[in-house]
Amino acid sequence: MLSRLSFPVLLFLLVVSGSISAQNITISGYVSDGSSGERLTGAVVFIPGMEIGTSSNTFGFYSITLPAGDSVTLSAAYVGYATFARRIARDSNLTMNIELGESHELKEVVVSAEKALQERTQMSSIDLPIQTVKSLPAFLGEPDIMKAIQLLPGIQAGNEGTSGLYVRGGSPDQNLILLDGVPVYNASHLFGFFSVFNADAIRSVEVIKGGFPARYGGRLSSVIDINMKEGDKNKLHGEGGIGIIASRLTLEGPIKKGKSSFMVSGRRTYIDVLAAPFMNKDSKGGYYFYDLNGKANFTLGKKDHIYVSGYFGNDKFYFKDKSGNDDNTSSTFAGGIRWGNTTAVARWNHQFSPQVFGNLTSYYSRYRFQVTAEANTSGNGVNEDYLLKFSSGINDMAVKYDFDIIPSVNHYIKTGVSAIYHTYTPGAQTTKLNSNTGSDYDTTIGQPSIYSTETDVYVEDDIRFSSKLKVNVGLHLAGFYVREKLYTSLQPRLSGRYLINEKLSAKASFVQMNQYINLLTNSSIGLPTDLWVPSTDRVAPQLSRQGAVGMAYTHDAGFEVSVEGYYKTMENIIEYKEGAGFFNSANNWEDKIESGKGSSYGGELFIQKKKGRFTGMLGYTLSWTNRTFANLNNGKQFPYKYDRRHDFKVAGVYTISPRIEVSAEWVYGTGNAITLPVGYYQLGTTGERITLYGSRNGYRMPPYHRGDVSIRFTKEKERFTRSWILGAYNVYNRKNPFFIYEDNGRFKQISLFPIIPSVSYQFKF
Amino acid sequence: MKSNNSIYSLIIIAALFFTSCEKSINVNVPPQVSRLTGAIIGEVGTPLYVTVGRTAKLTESGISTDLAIRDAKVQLYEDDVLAETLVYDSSVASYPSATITRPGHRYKVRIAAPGYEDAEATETAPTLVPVTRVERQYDVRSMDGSKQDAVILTFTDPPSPNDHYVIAITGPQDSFQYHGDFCVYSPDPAVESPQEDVTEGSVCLHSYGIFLRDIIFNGQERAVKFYVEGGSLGPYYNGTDSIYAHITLWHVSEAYYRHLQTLQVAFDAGNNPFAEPVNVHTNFTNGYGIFAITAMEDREIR
Repeated sequence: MLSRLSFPVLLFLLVVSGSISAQNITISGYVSDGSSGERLTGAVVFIPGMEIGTSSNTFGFYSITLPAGDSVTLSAAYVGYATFARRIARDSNLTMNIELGESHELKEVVVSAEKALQERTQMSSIDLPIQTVKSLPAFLGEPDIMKAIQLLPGIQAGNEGTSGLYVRGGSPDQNLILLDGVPVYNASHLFGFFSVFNADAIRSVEVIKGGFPARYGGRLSSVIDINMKEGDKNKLHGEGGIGIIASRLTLEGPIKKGKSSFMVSGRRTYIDVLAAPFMNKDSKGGYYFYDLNGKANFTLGKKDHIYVSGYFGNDKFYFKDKSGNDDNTSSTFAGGIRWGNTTAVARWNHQFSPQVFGNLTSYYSRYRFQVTAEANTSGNGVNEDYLLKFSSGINDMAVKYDFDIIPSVNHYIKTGVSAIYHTYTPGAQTTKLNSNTGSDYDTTIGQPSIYSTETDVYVEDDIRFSSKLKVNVGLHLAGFYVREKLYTSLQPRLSGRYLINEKLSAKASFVQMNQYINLLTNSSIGLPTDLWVPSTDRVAPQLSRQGAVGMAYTHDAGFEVSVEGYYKTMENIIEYKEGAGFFNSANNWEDKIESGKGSSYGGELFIQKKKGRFTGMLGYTLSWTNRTFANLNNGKQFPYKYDRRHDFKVAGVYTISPRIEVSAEWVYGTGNAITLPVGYYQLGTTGERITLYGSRNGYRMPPYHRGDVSIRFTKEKERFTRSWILGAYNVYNRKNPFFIYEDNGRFKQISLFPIIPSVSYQFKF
Repeated sequence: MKSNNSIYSLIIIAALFFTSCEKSINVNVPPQVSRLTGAIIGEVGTPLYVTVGRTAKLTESGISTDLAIRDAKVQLYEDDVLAETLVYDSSVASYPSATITRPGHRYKVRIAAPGYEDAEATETAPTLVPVTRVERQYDVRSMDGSKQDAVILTFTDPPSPNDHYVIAITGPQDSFQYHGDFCVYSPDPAVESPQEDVTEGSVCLHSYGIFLRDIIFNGQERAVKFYVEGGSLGPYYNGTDSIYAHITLWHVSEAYYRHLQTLQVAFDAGNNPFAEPVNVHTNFTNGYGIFAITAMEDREIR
């Protein structure tokens, strides 16, 4: 029903776009890296002097329609590249593929036209340069995209060291994390200390925390849109690194020169390999994780392009124990826990006309968690084999079609339709016993899989009312069908900017978002047991409404400054009931949770310097986040666990010379809210001690602060460039709280990470 | 000299690494007002025993901490009329009453003690709900390789809505082999676990406290089925007699029902630092504890 609705809309838009083009000419094409041939997302293409411009889409496509007339200069600019300019005739439609060459200025960002912060209609959005991610100090020497995102204002880390994101008072399940357009359900390795995104394989990262365009849906709080490298179309090269706990290697190059390319990237930890020689041969165990990223793209003529990409990653903990006893009996016990994501996506771009660009996407995403245990006991006439298997997870199959329609300089329309088939496996356990004593059994218990279908239709138009006023207006219609129940929602999206002068603009936005999926977790430490479950007939979909206002300013010296205030309400959000925990979270999850509402409001300041020898960013957030549940805290409002009044982050990179670069970061946050015991009493004469707790999350852990530093020594060799990176996490050994417990009237704090030095070696050829 | 510096540096780094773990901290917990506590758990048709105490600060923890209050003024009201003022009796470590509780009557306990705000709680004595039948069926199902017996308890719910029950199954108590808590399973949708839906019959319920409400069988006869490993039920032969397990049905107020549920959840949460803390339900105003009167019937499981 929903998908049928979209076609008349599309048809109308196509007709409109055709009629408008009668008086104009259209310049269209792709923007790409002149060296690698890789297409560039978000490059600014503009006509100087005419105040007309656009930016390239995710696949590098751009289109500018302007009145026919005298020749004009077409320019293009992108972060880190020299500005392109070419004089062109304006008498007929023109296809102009633009290849940008690298800028010779040190880390300069060419900021002009539409790309400038104050020019964009979109607010509450940050493009995180991947080079910045790699230059900042890294935990154990492993650059991590999610940790870098935690440095942005309005985005908070949860517990020490973990990669969970709490965006404007939302919980981690409210973040839509996309890798090449595919949702990744568990973005954590090693209980959240590392994310699954290998920075070497990533081309771009965009973070949106408010003012969501209509094309995004399904989560309340943020979109983290991560794109993998496409691969160099002209020559083979690679990069890699060897660190304390992991090594990685990325290769990219042409499949057919100039036409198609590939990129493969792998990363693996090797604590298990290093520890193996020191283990008893009868008692072994270990842990490792690995990631594999792959991407290939093929140009099929001037109008078609195909991309195929995938990610495959796993964590595995394993053990095996073998023992023999004096009474001629022996036993072996082996088992493991394995969890990981798999994503695969195929995308087919087609350019219908100079003004209409289409993209068909088909994807698969899976997260799976498995526990296995096997035991054998033999001797004294008994032989028993025991097997236990537990698995849970989620997988999605989806298809979607998206159009970019650019009928004139005053409109940029995006529209599309998608359908996702979700399969949730809340948990199934199989136990088997084969015994020669006759007590065999073979039992499978657990909840059956839940199936749901999610259908979305959207349309948005970035409307230019004048050179000063631009508005992006959109609608997102979603339908979710589960257990014979259909939920629908119509989500309005609106954002706009008014240019006060060429450097300063005012912005505002209002969005409604709906979410049909919940993450059962109360740990915030990225445990693999975290369980994705759908909205059901008993658990209503989550809903949020967010309004924001702000100012954006760009200074000639290369500073970008933005100030934003926001107010967000959330409904039907879930929390565990009092006393419920994550153990056995697979069982009857609908009975363990409470539904309630929440709100978050505050202000954010972000200053970013992208130009010169010193680059960096500073973010400050002042915010209040609350929750209200009828059956928690006597129905009274209470602070969210990650309600953080003050959150300050500063990070900088200074290039002393082309061979030496130093970086540092410092973060400070108000302590997490916590519920603590305040007293006790004894029940009756038996003296059963009952603890009295203060109001929920009514107390604060000590503040969190930490400093990290690193220094990079780079040397160009004959055939490659190598870097040594020395770093220290928590350089002044601050004992930050991980959790607090009460012990005989005193509170004790458990801390996790002291100062952790690291060294890593990186190479590039 | 240079190598010595390197060694010292390594030692310092290693020391810093291993010193980070646990430390005592000061948390600014505002001073709490100490309040009176009461514990009165009586049976219909018997006198009440009121235990009075006070809440303590966390810093008062210790084996010798005595929270009992022996000089309180304890008044018992029956249907809003003062029935008697109770006096502390050290032989029973409580304030016993002479009043015999009667089904359907409303009782209030009011406690006053110097230095504390008065606390009070009210409870209506429930009617006795007779057990019609108790049946045991042997080896009716298998779970995780163990055979389970079915225990079927049949009783008739009174016509009044919102009746609450607590059921306990106890093994042959005089045997060292069969005592304490064991798992009871029930597929009956009227059975409530404080945290989980039990209808699949695979959720382990505490044998000492199974919760049941009459939402779906108000005023009707109800046969509730439980599954228990046969070994937990005995019987146990003590040389002269066979000792049987028991099943007990308590008809209780909603307040006591919630008190027991939250108590169970609090203990189950134990020392799990990641579980959300639980405040145990109380029906005292300006105080803590529980005033409960129950009507109980007990049967052997044969």
